Amino acid sequence: MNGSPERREVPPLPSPGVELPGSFLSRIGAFATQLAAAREREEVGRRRTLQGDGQEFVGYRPYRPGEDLRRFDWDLLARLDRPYVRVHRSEAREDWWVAVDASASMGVGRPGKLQSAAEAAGASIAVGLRLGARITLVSSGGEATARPVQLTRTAELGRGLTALGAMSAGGRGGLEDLVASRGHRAGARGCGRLLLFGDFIDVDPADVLRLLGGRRRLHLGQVLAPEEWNPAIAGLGSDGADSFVDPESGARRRAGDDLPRGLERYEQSLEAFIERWSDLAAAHGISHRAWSSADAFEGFLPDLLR
Amino acid sequence: MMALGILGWALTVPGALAGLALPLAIVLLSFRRRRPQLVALGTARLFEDRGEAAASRRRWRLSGSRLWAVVALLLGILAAARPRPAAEDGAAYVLTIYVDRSPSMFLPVDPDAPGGERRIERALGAATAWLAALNPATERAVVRWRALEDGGLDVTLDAEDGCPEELLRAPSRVLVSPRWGRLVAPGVIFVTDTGLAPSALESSGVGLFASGGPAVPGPVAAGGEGLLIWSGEDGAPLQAGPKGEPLRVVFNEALAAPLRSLGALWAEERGLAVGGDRRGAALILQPGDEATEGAAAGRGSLTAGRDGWSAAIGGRLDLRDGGAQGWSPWLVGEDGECLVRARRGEVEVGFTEILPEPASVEAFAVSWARLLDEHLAPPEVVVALEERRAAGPAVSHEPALEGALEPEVLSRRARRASRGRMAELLLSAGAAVAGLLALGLRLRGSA
Repeated sequence: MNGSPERREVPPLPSPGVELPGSFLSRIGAFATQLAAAREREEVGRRRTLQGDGQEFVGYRPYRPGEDLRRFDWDLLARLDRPYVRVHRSEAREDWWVAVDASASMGVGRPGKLQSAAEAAGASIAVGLRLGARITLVSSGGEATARPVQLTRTAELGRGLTALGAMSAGGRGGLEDLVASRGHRAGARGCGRLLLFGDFIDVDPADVLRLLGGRRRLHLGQVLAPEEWNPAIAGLGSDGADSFVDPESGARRRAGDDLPRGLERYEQSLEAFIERWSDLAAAHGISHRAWSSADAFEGFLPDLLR
Repeated sequence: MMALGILGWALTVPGALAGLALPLAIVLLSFRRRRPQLVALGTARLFEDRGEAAASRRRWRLSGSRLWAVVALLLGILAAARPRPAAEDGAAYVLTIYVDRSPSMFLPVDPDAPGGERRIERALGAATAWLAALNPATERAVVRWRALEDGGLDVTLDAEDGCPEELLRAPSRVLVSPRWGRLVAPGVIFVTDTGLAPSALESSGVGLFASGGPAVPGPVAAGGEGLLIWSGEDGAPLQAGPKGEPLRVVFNEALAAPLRSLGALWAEERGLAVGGDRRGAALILQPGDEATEGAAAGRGSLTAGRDGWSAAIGGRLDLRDGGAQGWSPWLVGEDGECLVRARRGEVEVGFTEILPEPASVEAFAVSWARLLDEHLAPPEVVVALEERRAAGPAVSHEPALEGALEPEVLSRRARRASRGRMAELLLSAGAAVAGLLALGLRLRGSA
């Protein structure tokens, strides 16, 4: 942060909470089914999959030429006259670590960034549970201290959604608190996939890179509010709105005397900021997606979880 | 018009200054510490922290566009106030008051009080009262009083000096009512007894002070048999007055013989007595004074005439001090010298011999008879019937003063108005430029 801006009272956040209505459950159910099926199709081809030669039978899927005939279901072929293979869940279940930033900056935007991050996290959890993963849900910041939530079965998805719906943006502790914390880092190291949802404003890339290791997969979901992508839509300059406040520090910034020029410089800074994370992810095999809190998770989450 | 003077300039629409409240409010609001509208952004730190201190200072001064907007408003309001150079002197008006002195003006306002206020006194009183009410500071006026008669009074006085006393005295001969139409001009006031048509007054801008008054019964004619009395009712027959001394005319013995003969015939025709004392005579026809030797030497016989007759004239006499006493020339020779003059009750002849051309004897007789008729002075109580009729209600109509300004004042005002219009133009142009500047700065976003 440049200079030493004055610390002042923080105005009320526009969207501090999370609302997950009943329809959301069916949304993520459909999404998880669709994504899990696609993943099965991809991973069977690559012989690298979460499902495989385990004991737990999951179901059937159409046979593809070249597949191992040992998994071919002859009975089904006799009955339906169509080739199917049996699908079993792997006995080596994967652990997923899902972290959601619930600091004050996530309360910005309409819809809020925390709302979008929670929806994305909820959908990811649904996918993970569908794939047989064990989920650990953690959050940073927030108005109340939240303990990690462990989810091991699909039936526990509701508990996970409850934990997500109880999140409220507040405080200054963001993702950095999670990735820099020894305790959290130790917990995350035991997991095969780490999913981080937040704005990554205050996160040190070096701390994120420390999470990598072994075959661990890292997914960085970066959400920004529409007005953060384009501050001009916040009514700047039209009615004296020319100051920005950091919801966490309360620091105020002006766009400068020349508002268009100030906005241009901001856009350049924002582009560089996003690119820095994108380049970092590409260089280290990390999945990274940045989106607007107004976007539906169905649009960006498949790429993020791939 | 109430004008507000500032540094030698007057604002002719001072109410426009109320508009100054607007720029004043803008200036005051500009000093108000503005509560910034905040936009919460998690990415706020990506904004470069520029000009925080400058921003806090800026809240205490007018920004560029607002400053120019205030300047535009100030200039526009001053232009709307229509500035004019302050007047260096009060207005000076030149008024001309024409006074009707026909016989009706000397009739009493109240027929039952013959010695009371006369119509001319009432009308002049109204005019002088209006003149006295003029504000000397702003409506200084000089008044040219004119009696509507040949050689009558023509005097110019200040408005506060009132009217000349001479106007109140009856003229030496009977005057006809004026023809007002040819006298209409800016700054003219008519003093008469009968009101003119109001629409004519409005359109012409002349003033009118009319006494009005009811019909005044009384003698309307006199003859050899006495007076004829009018009862005051229109259409009523005239009544013969009590028998008294008949009208009498005196013809001087020294008159040329043709004139004496003509006079006798004329008097007989009119039923008038001839001869007797000059005092009390209704008409005296007499020769002038004997010419001095020097003057007589330069005068020979001549031929003169009018109304279609001509005559050889000899025995020239002097007719002195003509105009001063109400004499009017009636017959003038080729050299411009007056040969016959007349006034009410008197005809004076400047020769002792006259021999009309035989071919124009009839015209000679008619012409002289008309002269004698016109100057026959009946008793003062006799006033023509038309003059005795009712004059209607009193009318007081002030003239339009704007058209009566002294030419020099008009010229000065025109120069001031020209300078004022130039000032208006400059202020308006300045306001427009400042407004465009404010708009330009605003659009550039530097406000």
